[in-house]
Amino acid sequence: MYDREYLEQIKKRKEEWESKFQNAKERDAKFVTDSEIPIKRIYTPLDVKSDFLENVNFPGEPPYTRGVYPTMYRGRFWTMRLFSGHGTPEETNLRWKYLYENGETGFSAAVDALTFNGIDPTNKDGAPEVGTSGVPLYCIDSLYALTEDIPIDKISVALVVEPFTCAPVCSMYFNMARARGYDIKQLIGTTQNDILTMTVGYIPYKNCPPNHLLRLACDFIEWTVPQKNVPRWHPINFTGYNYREGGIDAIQELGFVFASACSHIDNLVERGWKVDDFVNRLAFHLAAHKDFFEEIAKYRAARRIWAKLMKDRYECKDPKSQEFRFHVQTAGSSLTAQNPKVNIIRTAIQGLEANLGGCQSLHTNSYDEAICLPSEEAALIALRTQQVIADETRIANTVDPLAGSYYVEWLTDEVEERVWKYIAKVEKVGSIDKALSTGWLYKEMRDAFHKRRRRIENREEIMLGVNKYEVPYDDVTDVFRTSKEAIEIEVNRINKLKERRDNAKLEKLLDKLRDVCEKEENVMPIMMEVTKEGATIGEVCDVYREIYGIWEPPLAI
Amino acid sequence: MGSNQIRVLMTKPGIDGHWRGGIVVSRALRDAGMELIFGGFQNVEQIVESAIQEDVDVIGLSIHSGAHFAYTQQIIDLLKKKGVLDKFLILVGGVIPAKDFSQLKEMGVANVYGPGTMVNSIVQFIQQNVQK
Amino acid sequence: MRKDYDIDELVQKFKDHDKIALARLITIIENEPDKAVEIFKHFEDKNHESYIVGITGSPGVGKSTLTGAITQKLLDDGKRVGIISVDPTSPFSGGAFLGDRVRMTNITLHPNLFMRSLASRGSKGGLSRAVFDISLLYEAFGMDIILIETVGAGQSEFEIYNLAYTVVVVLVPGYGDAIQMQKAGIIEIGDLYDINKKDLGGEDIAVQVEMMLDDSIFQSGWRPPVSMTNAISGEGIDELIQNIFDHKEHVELSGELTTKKKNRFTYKIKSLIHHKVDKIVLKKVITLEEIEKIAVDTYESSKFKIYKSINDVFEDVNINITKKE
Repeated sequence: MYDREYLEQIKKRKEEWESKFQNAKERDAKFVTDSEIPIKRIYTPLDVKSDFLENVNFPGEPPYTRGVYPTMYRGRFWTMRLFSGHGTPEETNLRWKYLYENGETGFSAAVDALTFNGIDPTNKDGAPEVGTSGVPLYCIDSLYALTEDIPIDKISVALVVEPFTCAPVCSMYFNMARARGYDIKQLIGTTQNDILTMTVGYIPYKNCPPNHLLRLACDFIEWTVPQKNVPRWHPINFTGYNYREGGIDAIQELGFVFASACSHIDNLVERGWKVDDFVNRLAFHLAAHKDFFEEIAKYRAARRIWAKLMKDRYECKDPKSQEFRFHVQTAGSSLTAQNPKVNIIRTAIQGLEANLGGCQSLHTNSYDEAICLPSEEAALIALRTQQVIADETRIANTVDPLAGSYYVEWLTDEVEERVWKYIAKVEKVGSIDKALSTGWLYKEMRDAFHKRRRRIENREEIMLGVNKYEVPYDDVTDVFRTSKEAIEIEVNRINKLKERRDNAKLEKLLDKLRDVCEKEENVMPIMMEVTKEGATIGEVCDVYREIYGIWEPPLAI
Repeated sequence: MGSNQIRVLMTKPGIDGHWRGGIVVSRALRDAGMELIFGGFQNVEQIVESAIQEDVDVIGLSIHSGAHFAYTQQIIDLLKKKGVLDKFLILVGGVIPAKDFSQLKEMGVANVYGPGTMVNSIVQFIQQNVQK
Repeated sequence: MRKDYDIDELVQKFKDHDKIALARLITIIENEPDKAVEIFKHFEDKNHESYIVGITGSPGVGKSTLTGAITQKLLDDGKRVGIISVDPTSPFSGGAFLGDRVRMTNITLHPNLFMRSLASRGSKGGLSRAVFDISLLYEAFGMDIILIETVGAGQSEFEIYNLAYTVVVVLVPGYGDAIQMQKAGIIEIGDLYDINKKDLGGEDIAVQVEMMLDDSIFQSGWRPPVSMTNAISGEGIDELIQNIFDHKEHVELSGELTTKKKNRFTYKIKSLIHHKVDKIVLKKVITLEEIEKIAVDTYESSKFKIYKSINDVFEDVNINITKKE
């Protein structure tokens, strides 16, 4: 970018400046990023190694470092999509309408633990948790209630369920949409369908082994996109968010999601598909964590890495296959139950990172996150946070405004380099399901847990209210409680469904499902029939358990 | 080393998969010289039976589901029914709002630990309250 | 929070088959071995015998899941089962992570099952000193089968040989265990070999085990069978259990069981004697501090004086042990 002679001049001046100020006092702190990349006092053109045209270029063109679209937020703002769900589908529907009226532009269903794990509320082990941490979606009737008067043909709906329950819940959604008269080929939305979320991010309860989860995830991708059943749907979000919550760093986050993505692509290529048939619909879900610039560099590096992976490793022909799209959630684990209003500030800064980093969709946390599920007031503030950024700050006046910053370009390169190394490390263990079943990922998570705990105890990482300016827990903020009647309501809903449905026909269909599972054929076609006929999520997942067995994750302490 | 270590059952009633807290505390207790029996996901009856058979000093309930009142009450009721309630120090940790601490203590919980707890405080509390 | 107890009351409840009492007695014996005398005197009329199976193998081979699968089948057959799971105590912290119970959640509530997790607590052999005592308690409680599960590291495999009548050595594919086994001499103590996680490809290691067995001599005429299991799916468990019972039948019919029982008790008695002698020596002959001082003196002056230093100590000692008339 600068000619050699000029760079020499800068170098000389820099050395002069450094020696002139070598005794200037600095704070007694470790100047490193969150992932412990050492950071210098100053960055100059000397630090920008990346060739502009080759590695930075223009938005909307490979390597997409500056953004996947040529106009980015000048064309259209990111989708403001608050992850929400609680109590019953009816209550959640009201919350969704409230947020929509207040300017939300996308929906996202946060489901409860029973829905994640494929358990019916009639199972007494899970019953106390009906609706306590998300919306219960146990049968097709639940999907009707959830989307009552919601324009699902116009607004993108994200169903945050993972491979174990992706097929039943999504097929319930698609069946419901059809019954409402929508053409599912036009539906827009996303399913998270992420193999690592309910295995390493959360520990699964009586799910099946990872090799089956990988196949089920790919079944859904195959059925929706290359088989063109719901071609506008995003059938997967490779999700680094949940592992960041455990304490892994930005480098590991990208390493995990890219290794996972490659395993899925390999699986689909083995089925005979060409990369260009489906890759464009694959998307990602990343965290926006505490280190402001590192997160922004991470997003830019991610776009560049994906573009290179698709071109170099998978030899895609269509440049659209190199596009890296992602949703961001601000970091829940950075929020405190002490002085919870301070969380509003944290979330605002993290939301800004996501936008300066060019995300396609954003969820901002509510300030009561560390205490309870979001109250209406807290959810509204979270939404307004995004709207302030969009409507009041004018950061969207130009695309990728931080490009050209010597620090940001250098950091983007540095993150990229480290991520390539980490991807290689993960892939050495094998495909992503092997990384799970051998326990390797659990060891990485375990080490991250303990490292984070030590950093907080040593005050290497500050959490205001917790290890600096310590205060007791807040007990003034209202605690949002989910409905105690939810268990009864959901059990009744299922019982009514069971009375209404043709149980004999369903039994036959479930037998067909068993057959499909044994033969390891794509489960989606039979799943559409099974859930249309009124199967519950527990009934479907019990078939999975019967055929695939129950997996006990190799936990590491 | 040699005898009379404090024995702790670390367990999660229910099915919600948030396990970071439980794992971090488990290691801290082991590093503090305690014997940590890891229960994983257990229902109420299994928790009580494990605590009895392992004759632990402490029952540690890790709850992030929002259902802490329901589970804790059920466990305490069953311990009472079996006549062993006074044999265990019961601790609850997880995403518990501060407003709920006193009600849990009234139920019979010795102490409650919310997000951001420094694990050493748990170690100290156990060491101070378990007599061997 | 102190737990008070009354041994007589506990024994009474124990005899009524109260698991709470069994658990408490185990704790007492584990923490206060001297109380064993008092407890056992109540059982002198008990002569029920359990069949004891040891399950050993490196960490990560799935022993706990395997033990759980075996136990499930035994319980289904109406047997009463007592499990003792031993994990190592950390030499640095003195604490232990006991992670076996988590693999057996679905059988926890079975009325005919009792399970106890133990830490080795620095015992010389790697197995807890209390294992023998607990196995006696289980026998008094009326267990049909006792399963002792332990990590095969250090010397604990050999200890299991002295505590159990049938020893199952568990391997997994890809571990290179077969070579290690041969080096460590484990080939001599296994009565059965089981290759778990067979879905990862057990045939190779099965062949290696068979080859090593081909090279061995079996005094009793029992050639250890090699089974392949997948403890998670349950495949092969029936065959493994059949092998265990076949071995049981063999040791019963051949009279070897009597030898094993004698060995079980001899081993314990010897260790009790060692323990008593240790205590006496440390009280009367030389203290721990003195031992340490000799160690320092020796390596500071000449480490080759080590034998001489101890011989000198004992030269000055008059050991006069007599039995009371």
